[in-house]
Amino acid sequence: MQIYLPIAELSMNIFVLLAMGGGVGFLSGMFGVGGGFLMTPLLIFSGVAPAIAVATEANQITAASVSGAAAHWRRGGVDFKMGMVLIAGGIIGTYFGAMIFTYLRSIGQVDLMISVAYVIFLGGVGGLMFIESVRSMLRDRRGEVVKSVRRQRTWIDALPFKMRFRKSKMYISAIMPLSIGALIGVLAAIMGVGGGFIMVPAMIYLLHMPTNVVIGTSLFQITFVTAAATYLHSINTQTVDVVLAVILLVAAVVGAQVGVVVGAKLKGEQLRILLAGMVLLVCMKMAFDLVVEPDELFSVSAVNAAEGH
Amino acid sequence: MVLRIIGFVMLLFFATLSANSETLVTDLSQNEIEITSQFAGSELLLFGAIERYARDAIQSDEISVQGLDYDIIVVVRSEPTDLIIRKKENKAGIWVNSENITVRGVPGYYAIASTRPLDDFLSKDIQVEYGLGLNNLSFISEGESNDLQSYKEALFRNMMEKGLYLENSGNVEVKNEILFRANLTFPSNMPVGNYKADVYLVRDGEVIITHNTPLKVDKQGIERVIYNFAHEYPPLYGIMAILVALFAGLFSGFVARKVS
Repeated sequence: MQIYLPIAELSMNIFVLLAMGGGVGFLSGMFGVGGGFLMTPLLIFSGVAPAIAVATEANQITAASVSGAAAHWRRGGVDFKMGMVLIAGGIIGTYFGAMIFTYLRSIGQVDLMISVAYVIFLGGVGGLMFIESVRSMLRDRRGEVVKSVRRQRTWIDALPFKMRFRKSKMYISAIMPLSIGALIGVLAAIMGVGGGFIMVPAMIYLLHMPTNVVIGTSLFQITFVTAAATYLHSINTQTVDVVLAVILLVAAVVGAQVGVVVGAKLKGEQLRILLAGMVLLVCMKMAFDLVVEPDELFSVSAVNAAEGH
Repeated sequence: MVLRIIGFVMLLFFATLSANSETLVTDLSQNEIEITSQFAGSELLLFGAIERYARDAIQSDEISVQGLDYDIIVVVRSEPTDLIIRKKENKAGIWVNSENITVRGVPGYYAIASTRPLDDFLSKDIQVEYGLGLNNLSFISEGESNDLQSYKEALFRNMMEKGLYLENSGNVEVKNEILFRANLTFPSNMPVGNYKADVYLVRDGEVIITHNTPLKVDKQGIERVIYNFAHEYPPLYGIMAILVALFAGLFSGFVARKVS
């Protein structure tokens, strides 16, 4: 059964869309990630215009993260104050990200930017994850125990504008969380991802937040930042396809439930290696498309769409 | 009274004799294509009849014309629009859009169908005069390029790939030299707007009659509502999209918790 998507202006098989949403939902449930970094490329590979894929995915991630954020909130797993600082940074980042997005769309380079951003971030994060999990698997095999290193004072502690975060029991400069939030905001706007894959490591390794509030706070921030990205894309380029977002969302919720059950049966290291492998696969496909000479060197698009009216 | 009728018949006879000896009647199986949520492209039938009474009357005592006497050309096109053609170039190892040109006033959809290949029955000059066939479309470009021809070919290639430009010869069927029909196909990504279906009747290498039928293509129902909402009230649409997402997310989370 075909369904016509009013903003993407093309007709797609609804079962294909449901399968995509369900599949990505399954993986996101299994690995505990948002799935935007898989869904956006998948939409692009299946013929949705990159600009529409990114903006629609931002909208879908809002839906995907809000129930998680609410669940963590009830359990007290959200550092509200830290969340607000991250959101403040995130909204600034989203604003600039959306501006860059709109500008590049007008000069016909938005597809390139999306691909390059994916290759850099997926390659970087996937590579690090892969190395890290291989190392820890090897360590396990040799029976080594990781020595916990006492946190040392770094240049981060020397930054001004210190704030107290009671929930996280921290007293740090607001500049760090603001800039992390801003980076995530830019990524949300230009890549259609929640940015959890950057934010969670950044919170743990850069901010040294206690792990029990990391996931909740990051979901809390992602909900608001992707909402801001949705809003800005709607205003600037009219590229948010609500019909597409809702179809993907429904399937993703179901898939995620199954994924959580399967994920619980696998070991943490195995999961991380699998996830890293998948991230690298998407990255390589994107890189491949950039480097290999395309069959068709020319592309045709409507003038008014490109100008973003 | 009788005289008047005879006079009228005579007038009609001479009128058709002097101007066109044939008349052309055409219609479409639908005058409107509605793009709804289940829209997956469309097929229309264009049909018509050639009325050739006057000519038969004259020819009754001459040599009767055998075989394919008439040729029909059907052209369906959307409103003219402006398109950007971009060319990718390899820069520092990756393929990026570099040069581009803008073409003004080209159709977003163009389909030409005919009884035979155009060159078999119509001279190049006449094809150009009536703008028949992709190569005779006006191609007014902005932007600099010393390779316009390859841009032009790329435009046709891209649009044909998307099913938006079609060139078919031999798919207009003529029956008994009177009735004709042509199947027209429209892909799901067709632009909306007012289309025109032109029918050209050709005899002896001359276009003797043209007839056009309008065709309206529009998004309907929820598709139209969502599209208009997004383009006319972007801030409200953005807020609506966020609310839909928040509600759907919270609701599905709630259901998932109850189920599991």
